Amino acid sequence: MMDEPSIGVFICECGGKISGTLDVSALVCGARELSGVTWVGSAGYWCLPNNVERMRAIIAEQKLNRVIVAGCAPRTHDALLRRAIDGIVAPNLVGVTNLRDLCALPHHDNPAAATAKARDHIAMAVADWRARQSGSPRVARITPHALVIGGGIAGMTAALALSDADLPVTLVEREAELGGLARLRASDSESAALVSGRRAEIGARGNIQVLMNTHPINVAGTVGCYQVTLGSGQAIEAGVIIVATGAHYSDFQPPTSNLQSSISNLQHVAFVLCDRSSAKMQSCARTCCLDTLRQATEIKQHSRESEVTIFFRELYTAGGTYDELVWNAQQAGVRFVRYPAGGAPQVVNGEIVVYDELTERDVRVRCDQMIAAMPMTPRADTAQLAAMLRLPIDLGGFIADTRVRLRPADCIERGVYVCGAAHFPCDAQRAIFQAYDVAARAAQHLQRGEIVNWAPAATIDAARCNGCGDCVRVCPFAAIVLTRRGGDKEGGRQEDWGRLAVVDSLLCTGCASCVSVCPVKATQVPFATDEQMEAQVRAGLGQGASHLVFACEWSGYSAAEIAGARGLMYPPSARVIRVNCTGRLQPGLLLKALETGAVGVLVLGCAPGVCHYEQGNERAAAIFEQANALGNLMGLEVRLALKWIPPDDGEAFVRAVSDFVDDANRNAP
Amino acid sequence: MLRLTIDERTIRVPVGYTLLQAARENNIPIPTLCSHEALLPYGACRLCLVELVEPRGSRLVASCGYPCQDGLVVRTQSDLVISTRRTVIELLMVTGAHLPIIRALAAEAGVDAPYVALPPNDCILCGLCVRACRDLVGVSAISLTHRGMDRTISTPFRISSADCIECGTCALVCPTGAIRIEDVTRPIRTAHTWGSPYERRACRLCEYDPPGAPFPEDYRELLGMSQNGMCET
Repeated sequence: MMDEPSIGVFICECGGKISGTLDVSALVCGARELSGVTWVGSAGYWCLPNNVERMRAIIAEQKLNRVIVAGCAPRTHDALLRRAIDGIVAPNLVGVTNLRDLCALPHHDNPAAATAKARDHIAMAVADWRARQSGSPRVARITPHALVIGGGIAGMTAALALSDADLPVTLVEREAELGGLARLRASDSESAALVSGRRAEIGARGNIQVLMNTHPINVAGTVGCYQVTLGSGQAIEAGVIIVATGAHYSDFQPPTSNLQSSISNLQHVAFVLCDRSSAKMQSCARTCCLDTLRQATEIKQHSRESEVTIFFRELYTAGGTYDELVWNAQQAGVRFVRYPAGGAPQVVNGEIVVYDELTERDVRVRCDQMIAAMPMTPRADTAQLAAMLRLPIDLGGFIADTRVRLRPADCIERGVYVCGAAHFPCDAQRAIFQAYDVAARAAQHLQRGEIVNWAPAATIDAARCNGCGDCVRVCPFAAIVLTRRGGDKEGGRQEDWGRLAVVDSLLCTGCASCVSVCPVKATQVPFATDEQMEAQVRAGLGQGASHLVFACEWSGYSAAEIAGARGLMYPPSARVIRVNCTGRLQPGLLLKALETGAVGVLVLGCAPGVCHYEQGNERAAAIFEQANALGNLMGLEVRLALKWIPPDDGEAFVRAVSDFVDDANRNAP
Repeated sequence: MLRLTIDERTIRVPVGYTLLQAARENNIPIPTLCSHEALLPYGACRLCLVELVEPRGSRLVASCGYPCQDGLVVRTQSDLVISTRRTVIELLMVTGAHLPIIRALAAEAGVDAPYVALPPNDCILCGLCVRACRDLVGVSAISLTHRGMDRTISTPFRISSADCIECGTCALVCPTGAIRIEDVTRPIRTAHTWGSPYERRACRLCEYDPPGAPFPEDYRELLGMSQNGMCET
């Protein structure tokens, strides 16, 4: 939507904090002359409710379609103002430019220079806003259908819970029978009841479709609607995917007959549990101690003459009423022997030998059969499935949550959830808890109907894109894919003409790395376009020679605001341009700034490894090197600098800018 | 519109204004530490106390959170207000006498030294950072924790918070400059390495996670991480 810019500049005095240093009336006069500006005015506090009302009236009366408040920090006031004038001007065309912390407070000793800087900063904001186009939010409709992968206890529970909420569910099971790990406990009547009860109920539900003997082989689509292809060839569209693929016991052989007949002729049975303290927490199955206690008790109850010993290092029976199991085993006459750290039981001539720390001597136990607890490990296909769904894997190979402590069941807010033993080894009780939890979240997600996202996303001009794929390689969020271009294949290399990069606007975070690499300028991120950047450079340097600072909003800009808020002083010749990521810059832009008349150009980004867009700052370093090399080639006296700055370090900002201004002035022609 | 009197001046403000907003609009200075225009009133610092003159006598109210009413009579410079403000400043000085902003307030109010001095602490527990993190940024990475003398601003369990997106808003709004991002993301300045095996993830505001991009080798070493991404501390 193209519209003629009609900009309102609302200059805020911030109760004297701004007007105490800056000449506000001069700023008002200066801003009136800027192209595209329809209305300029000042007030004590534009954020007071009364003045917000006035602002709304002025916007309506003057038919403003862009609003700039020249006042304080965008981080704190953008949202407030956008909310206040919601519905009149598109939120992305409303914004704050910081005069208080960037112009007034840090240069309070030099009102003239501070006012000149503020005038340039207003001009830069106007230039930026003038080049902006109103966007529309991206809307993703959520397909009201859930896919549950895995038909174990967790998967069945989640499917039933979603079905209770009247949501259609497809349940996919790799094997020929529902039940998963819990089926292995045929001897345990509780488990059997859990499985058979759920199995029967799923069969009775009309809105649960069960697909057996198959598994997902491909996941396409994006947030809101995933297209999952199954091994059987079926395709399913789902707004929510719940992963409940479970785990398995390594080397576990399910008993061929039931436990009672297999143990009837055993006299001496020994169970050996793992040394949990030395093993990684990840590999603790959380179920073997419980199973061992149950089985030991059962053997003992079956034949009272048998001798049953449990060798353990740490008995893990936390949760529920599991402590009773220990009590029951003791009552039944099971022997417990705790082996020392690092002193695992040895088998010598049909006897188990272990050093007992309590009696300080070796204990020898006769043994016909030794049963060792096996760790629960992820299924072989877990990693494959996680990769398809872009879920993180933890060290043990299980699917990890992003924020394990505070949001235990939040994988990613995009409709993919994990429950049961695929998540971490757990028993049926925990699997059921998790299943209910993710089912509730999944239902909530499905009932939202759609996701609305106002944040800027990259767009690719299909007429310009040459299919080189640079943007695909550089995108840290895998939001760009190469597709086959239909029809048009005239001229050039056919393989290039045949490809077109397409942005998944819901995955895009707007870091604009793709803009930086695109050789044909086909990629743009609205609100950080080339025109905007160049217009800001021209406006910032319009009033004579000064120093330009491209500051990443997560580090350099943030530090600049804090430096200002603390009243730290630095040379007022620096004009600060806020960029969302320094990886968005281009060598050409940096050189253009020098060409336009900048005495020096400083780039401030986040330290390596802490970029909010994964690798933006590393790319910034490469861009900077390239600009430097190009400048040298062209015989320019290069006055460029790149610094990493922590976001809260005002002093570091002041040091960086002061040193840079000194150096640049010294090197200036 | 409401009519009220502040310091003998009759002023008119719309319904819904607080006394502080009314005073600000009319250039009547009231000192504050914990108030922020973009956040709801909280009333933690008590510096903005003003005297409300009522038929049955005067009382002190926090002007940041007290709604304007028709016919209110308010004094911001009466003896009662000034002496109470001095007490408030004195109490702030107990742990904050070294802070420039507290010293400036003390100099203005003519307070020399507090009756008692406790070990200096940059944080005055005004909760501004906590509210900004919750209401402006929307992540709630920090909160006021513990009770009484132990009260402190902290991340949950006093370990570095995986919820922090390192935006620095807490540091920006802090009136005393007490917050460093290291406090939130301790022990090292990245929000996502509290000894978990998980790779660093993208910002939560963006909502989406990238496929795990590993740290560059040299940076792992810097962070004291082993090859598999685990923090060794």
